[in-house]
Amino acid sequence: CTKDFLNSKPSDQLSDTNFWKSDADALSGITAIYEQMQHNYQIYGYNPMTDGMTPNAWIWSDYLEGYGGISKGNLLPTLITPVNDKWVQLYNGIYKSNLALEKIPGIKMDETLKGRLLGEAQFLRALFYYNLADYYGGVPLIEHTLQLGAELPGRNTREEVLTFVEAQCDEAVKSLPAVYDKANTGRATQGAALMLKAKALLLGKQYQQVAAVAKQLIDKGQYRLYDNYEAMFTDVAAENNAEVIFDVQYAGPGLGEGSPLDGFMGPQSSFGKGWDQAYPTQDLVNSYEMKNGKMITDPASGYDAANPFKDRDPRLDYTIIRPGSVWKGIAYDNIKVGGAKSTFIGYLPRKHVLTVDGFNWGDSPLNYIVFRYADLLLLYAEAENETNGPDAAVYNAINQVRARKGVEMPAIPAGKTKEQMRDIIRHERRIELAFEGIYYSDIRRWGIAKELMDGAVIKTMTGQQLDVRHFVDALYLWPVPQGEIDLNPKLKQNPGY
Amino acid sequence: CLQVCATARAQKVTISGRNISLKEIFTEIRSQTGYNFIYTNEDLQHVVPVTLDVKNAALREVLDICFARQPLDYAIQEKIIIVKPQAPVLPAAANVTGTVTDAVTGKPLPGVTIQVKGTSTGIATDEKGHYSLSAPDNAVLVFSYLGYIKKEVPLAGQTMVNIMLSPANTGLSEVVVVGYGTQRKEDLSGSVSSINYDQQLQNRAITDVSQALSGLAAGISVSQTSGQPGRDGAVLRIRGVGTLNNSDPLVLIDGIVGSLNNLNPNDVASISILKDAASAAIYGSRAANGVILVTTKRGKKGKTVINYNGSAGVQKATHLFEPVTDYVTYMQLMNRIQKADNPGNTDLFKPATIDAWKNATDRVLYPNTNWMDVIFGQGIITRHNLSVSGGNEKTDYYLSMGYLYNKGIMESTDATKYTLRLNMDHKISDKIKIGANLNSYWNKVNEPFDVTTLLYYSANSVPGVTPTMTKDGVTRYGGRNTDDESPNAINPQQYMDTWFYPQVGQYSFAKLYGEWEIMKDLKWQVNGSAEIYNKESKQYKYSGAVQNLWNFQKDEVTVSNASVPSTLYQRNDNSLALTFYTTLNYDKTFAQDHHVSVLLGASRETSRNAWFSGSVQGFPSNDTWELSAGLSQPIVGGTSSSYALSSYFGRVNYNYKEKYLLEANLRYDGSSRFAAGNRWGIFPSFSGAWRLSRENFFRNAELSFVDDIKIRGSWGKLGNQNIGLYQYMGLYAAGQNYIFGNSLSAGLAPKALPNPDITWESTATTDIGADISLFREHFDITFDWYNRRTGNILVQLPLSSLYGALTPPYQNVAVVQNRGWEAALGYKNTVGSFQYAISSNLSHNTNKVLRFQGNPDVIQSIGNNSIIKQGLPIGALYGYQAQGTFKNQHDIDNWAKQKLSGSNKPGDLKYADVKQDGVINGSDRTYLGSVIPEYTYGLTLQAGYKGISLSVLFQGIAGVKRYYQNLWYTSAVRYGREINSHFLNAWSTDNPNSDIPRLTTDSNSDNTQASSFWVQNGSFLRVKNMQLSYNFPAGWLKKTFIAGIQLYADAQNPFTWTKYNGLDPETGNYTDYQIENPNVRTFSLGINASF
Repeated sequence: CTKDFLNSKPSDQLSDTNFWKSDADALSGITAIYEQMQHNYQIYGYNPMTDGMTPNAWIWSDYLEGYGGISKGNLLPTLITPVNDKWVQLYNGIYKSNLALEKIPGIKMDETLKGRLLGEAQFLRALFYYNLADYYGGVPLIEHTLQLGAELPGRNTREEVLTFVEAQCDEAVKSLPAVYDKANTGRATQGAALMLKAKALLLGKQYQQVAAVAKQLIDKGQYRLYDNYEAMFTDVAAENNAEVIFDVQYAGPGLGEGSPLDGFMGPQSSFGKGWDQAYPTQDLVNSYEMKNGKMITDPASGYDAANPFKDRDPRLDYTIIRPGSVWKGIAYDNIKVGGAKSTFIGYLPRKHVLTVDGFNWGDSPLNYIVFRYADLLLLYAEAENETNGPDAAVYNAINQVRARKGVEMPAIPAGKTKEQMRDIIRHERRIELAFEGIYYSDIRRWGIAKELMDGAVIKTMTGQQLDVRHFVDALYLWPVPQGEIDLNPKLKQNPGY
Repeated sequence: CLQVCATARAQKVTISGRNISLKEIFTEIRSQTGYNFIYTNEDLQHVVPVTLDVKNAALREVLDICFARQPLDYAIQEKIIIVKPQAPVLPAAANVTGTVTDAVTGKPLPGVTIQVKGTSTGIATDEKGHYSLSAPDNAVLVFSYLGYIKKEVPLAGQTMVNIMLSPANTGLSEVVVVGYGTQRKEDLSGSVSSINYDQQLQNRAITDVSQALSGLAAGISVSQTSGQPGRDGAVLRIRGVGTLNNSDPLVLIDGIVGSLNNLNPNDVASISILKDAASAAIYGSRAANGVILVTTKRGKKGKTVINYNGSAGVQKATHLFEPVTDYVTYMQLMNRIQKADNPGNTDLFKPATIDAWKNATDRVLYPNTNWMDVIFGQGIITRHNLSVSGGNEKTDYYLSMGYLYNKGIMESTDATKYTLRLNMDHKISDKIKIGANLNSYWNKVNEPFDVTTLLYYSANSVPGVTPTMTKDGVTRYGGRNTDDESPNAINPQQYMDTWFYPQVGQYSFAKLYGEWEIMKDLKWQVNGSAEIYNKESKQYKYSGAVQNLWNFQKDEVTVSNASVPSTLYQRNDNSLALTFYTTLNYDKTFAQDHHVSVLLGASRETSRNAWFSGSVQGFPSNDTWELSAGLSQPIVGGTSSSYALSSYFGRVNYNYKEKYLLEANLRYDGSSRFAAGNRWGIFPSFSGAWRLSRENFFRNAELSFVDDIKIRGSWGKLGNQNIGLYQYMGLYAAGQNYIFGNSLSAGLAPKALPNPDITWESTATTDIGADISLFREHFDITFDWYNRRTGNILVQLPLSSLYGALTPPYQNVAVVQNRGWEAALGYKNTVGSFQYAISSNLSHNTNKVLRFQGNPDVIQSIGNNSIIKQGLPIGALYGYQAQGTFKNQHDIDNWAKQKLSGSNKPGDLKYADVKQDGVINGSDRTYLGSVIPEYTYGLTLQAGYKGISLSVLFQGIAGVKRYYQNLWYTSAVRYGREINSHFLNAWSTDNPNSDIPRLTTDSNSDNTQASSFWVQNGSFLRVKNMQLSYNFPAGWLKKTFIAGIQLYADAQNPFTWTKYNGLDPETGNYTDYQIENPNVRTFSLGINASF
């Protein structure tokens, strides 16, 4: 009697003793892992803002994500945002995955569903580890939940982490479906797991294997390029199209399931009053080819400095709001509502910015695409070029991307050397994937970040200097958060910090 | 039914029994003493039987009792007792008359025994305190009354002797309430302070019982942190701050856990403060921070007494902020500061604007508003209390009604409270007693949205804004009256008028008990109680349409709030607490000298709390603040939680000849806050005392001035469980949702790591003390030394993210020590009709965190200015050591490089280079003082002469620091924000010797960092209460139905001496956002009448 008397349980929360009992519990536990990608800004919520640490964009504020500061070389182990936050949120996701992987096998439920859910958890855990490996290098591999007082491990190598990611993707592919019914759109698929595997191999420079995995995925024929490049990033109607391999799902308004990107990147005249945090640089604008496929620096390109936006790669206007643009029916001149901030450089991003009203700040329903087919084609081209040189498969892949309906850029002329083709692919990745949060990983992976960033001057479109950037070798990896080292002295810091 | 103890043949008698006939008693006395009786049967015809309960009593004493109500008298000759009829008392023979009254209250005292010294002649006063008796001219009259100091008066031929008796507050025979019972003070071996909650306290214009404890007892620190009606309960700390978690003492009201706020101060009979482990251990797991026991009044057998006590008074702030209120000065200052910050800055205020104010006569258009005067005014406090009490042989009752109205010093704050109480006891039979306590109240507190927030906002006001103006019958709120002023300058009046936060509480408490005397010396008691509380809080805000701010000069709206919708947020809280406890009491004396008492008990407590809230926007009118009346955006929320405590406890007392006292307590508590394996805790205590004064050697020595000396010692272990519920469980937090297929899917995952191993915090206290009473109880001294060590303190240690980046669990790791001593000294005397009494107490406490997170270097910040760190007191102030200001650039160049937030300028604070490394940065911050007072003291002076009495209560603390920096008191000025006039003396090129840092518009300058410049001495001495009262002489009221009338004047907080220049030295350790309503000074007049 006394025992029961003292057993008081919360009436508004489930506890260890009454959760993980049914398939509904298993589904809820998995859902909470997906949620990690979405709301916790440090994983994918702000990801396009990482372009602010590349030549693509400039973030005027040193606050918020800290990306502005990092682009100037200010990256310290004691930085809470973003150094600590990203680490913490990724490990939170890993914890939720580990918990699900431990608990779900014991639930009496449909075995197919159980297998699929375990596959989803494996995929998501691998995705979090991939991000850790990308930003911090080697990190401790935690494959089970830890109880209080557990002995904490030191760091595994980046190779070990990536090998784990690849192996987990292989596992997940076995139980994940190729596609889902409409009600389950957004869940991890076989394609997503293969794409993640390719990405992990690419980070480990295992080009031959990348090419093989990418080809396997391309040959499935499940994915194709979407016909409307601009709508893919601005229109809810274009969500979950055939180009999307994996994305972070958002919806709204008023569900608490909106994305913050519109709020951060939109102009102040945006419905939710954007904070226009990230500005496209003049350097990015300049690197869009002319419609004829030539760079504007080429005297034969026909570039008219007095009319700089004429006859350019259409993706410039799909990606960037520039003088002469119209956005949401508002002429560019009137976009600069709200004073100084909007005029810092003179350009504004168009990707991820809503063109319809009815949403509050931070409640945009636009999905964020993590993996898409164009990325796959380009990384296939890259890996194939690195493995076998610029063979037909390389040309075919890159030219498919350039030939997308509505982009329709001329094909890359034949006869390029491997090195020329490497540069062409890097350039194509920059343009095609601008403001998608991929370029920061690319320039570090390629080892060219220092060359591109150190000493780079940010100017307004009228040529006034705004900022100078710095990059030292240490910045190729972020530091392990100091707070984590204090709590676990086995963690060794990355070199240079 | 006659029970006798066989004793040796001596003049000592032991008889116990009900309604024994005189004859039986005579036989018994003869067999015990060998004395013979001579009487006639005729004489015994009119006698009444007697109830006796005497042990080893003197023969004369026993005979006096037996003959008290008989028409007989007796005389002892040799060993023969002669019984004879009483000589008729002739009225003519009464040559002395008079009245006996209470020296403090002036009320007549019925039942006082008056004896002619050296004779058996005696009489008692009647219901109006009158007496008359016959005595020789040279006789000495002895006036004695239980609980009062005995008085001897030589008659010297007087025929009218009016006497006032003083209550023996510290009398040894005083009964003190202890855990689950009472004890005589002389039998205590633990450390207990008892406050006799007498008339004087009941006349005070206090609104919460917690305020009454201030300065009256050693070892308790009382600080009233706010003077806001309804939120003015004091913070109580017994013997320092015991834990890093909640350090509030446990409060029991008539044996049931409760809150002092639930009481009508007028219903309180007594308060005991259990300070050491020995006295508190019976409450085990919750007693670590001390225990406060309150008993409420009960009826007394006898005539019905009706009492009315009412007063009315006014209140003023003890101290207010002192902003610059002359707008011309303000504007010139702002211009100067701006220029000093950056010579390139243009003037904020144009000369024309400044001149316009200088020349203006219309103070509506050109105001110099003192916002303190607008926000604060005079408060009002009114109290009415009516009680009826009485009883007969079987039943007694106490019935009271109370009304309290307090209009705050801040406009639009007030509190109203109605209380009802009924306490009653009834004897079903000689063996069975039942009773009930019923208490309920209804209260309503009104305040603008949130007073703390409002005061914080209000700092964003300037003297150039006019509060209100009426035009076309409509109230308009002032905004900036000049375009030079910041549009951010707000109008606090507008907030007070349009934001509301009414809270209505309904409280009901019922306790029933039954007691059965199973056999002689063995009693069984059963108690059950239920406490129900409902609170409805509303927060509503008028629509922005009425909140526009106007420029009165231009007659146009400067800030339009028209688009802001009206909103209502309502929250209903309700709680139910059930308590059941039962005790078995055995009390017996063996072989005359061995007194043993044993208590066994068990208790169960459960509590359930629930709330429900809703909010909605868009109200059609400002008269319909109900959820149903709103139009849009409805949102709901709510939940409930519960907890339980199960306990078994026991106590054994043993004393030998009342000379050696021993006590042991044990409590076994189980709490739902911990996991099954760690739920139960054992809390033992032991104490002992030695009454030296009872030793024969002491008696024989020439030490007759010593009434009593007792040396005490105790040790015990107590617990604390004040952490959130369900901390040991792995809980799944909802709301981690995601979108699949464009629809919402629920996600659940833990947010915190559970620690199933958490268990009780435990406090071990050692106490050594002495109680001394001298000179016929004129002097009373109590002294205690204690060491209080709390271990296993529950702290959330930071957790590596490898665990999953979860909220860290509580772990039993930290240790805190409080060590100190307390002394209380009382003296009272009477010189003729003049009585006076002094009582004082002084406590010293040092607080130290002995272990925090295991690592001595770990510092946990609390806000920006205080920390928890091993080796320092809890909440130690922490920051830079300011050493004056940089007088000039030369000073800066010759000082360590100080770059905390930006560059330095002359007039900035210079900080000590503690590490002496030539750079001043975060690691040069040091300990700047403790916010826990080292000394707490109180002094009460009382004097009475005939019907007039005066009492003054001083209270103070010393050895304490306060941090004072907030928006109302800062060197960081901002356009559109007030400036504190203290900073008019700040460093400037014209005032280069000042050590007050320069004023600057740079809110990030080094000067506003936490530093010793912002730390002030928080010591104070204050007259907490002063009371003058006058009792109408009993003689005047003799013929009326009135038994006594007292008029009194009462002052709370009339004087304060302190160096602290913040709002009030009782208020806490401010951070920028915590600006409380100032404390108040209250003057009231009242009347206390009995019928």
